Amino acid sequence: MMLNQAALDHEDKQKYISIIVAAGIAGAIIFLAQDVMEWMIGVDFESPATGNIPPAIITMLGKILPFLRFIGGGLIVVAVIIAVSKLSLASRPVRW
Amino acid sequence: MSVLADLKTAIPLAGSLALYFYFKPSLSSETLFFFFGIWISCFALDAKITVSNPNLINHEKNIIFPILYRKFGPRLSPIIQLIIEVLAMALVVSLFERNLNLISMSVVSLVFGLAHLDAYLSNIKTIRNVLKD
Repeated sequence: MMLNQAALDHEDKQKYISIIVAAGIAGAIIFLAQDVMEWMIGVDFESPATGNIPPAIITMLGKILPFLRFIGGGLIVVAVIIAVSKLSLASRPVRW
Repeated sequence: MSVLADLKTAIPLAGSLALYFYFKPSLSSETLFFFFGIWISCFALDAKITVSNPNLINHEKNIIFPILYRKFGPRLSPIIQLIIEVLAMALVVSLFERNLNLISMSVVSLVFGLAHLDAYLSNIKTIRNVLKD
């Protein structure tokens, strides 16, 4: 399929926006994973009172989820750097 | 537009910031001025090259700045951009630490400053290429 330059620019712009928005949303979801899990299963991973959930699972999640917070935060920072901070020029007009 | 080129620089910067917040090394309060100084200088370079080429404002990949430029013009828009950036720094610090801390904010400002430096260097190349065409 042949696309003219304007169509290519438009496609590029759409891809660019969707990648940045996706990075931001993915970051927010990963960042909030611990809070969502705590709300869903009703366990505070920082001072767990296990109830009917196996303690091994609570221990594992208690180690993984705080680490995920940093990965999610990193993804949010990527989106902030590209969309808000950097003032870089593209070689072709972008026309937001 | 190369998304990959932007990601190539943004991912290592964001990764180093996440590592800083994970390990949280102690930094002296003097480094605070040094990091903020780097950020302000690099921001000034990046804003200057962007504002001094108004014919290329349509080429700007930043989502907020072109809107500010059209609404507030070349003098006010960099100042508003600066304020937005300070707010973004506060947001990033509060995401990782849940309270505002000037030393952590200076580290975030260093990362933003390096992103501006990268943008400034790539802008020089882009302007040369566009002027050639």
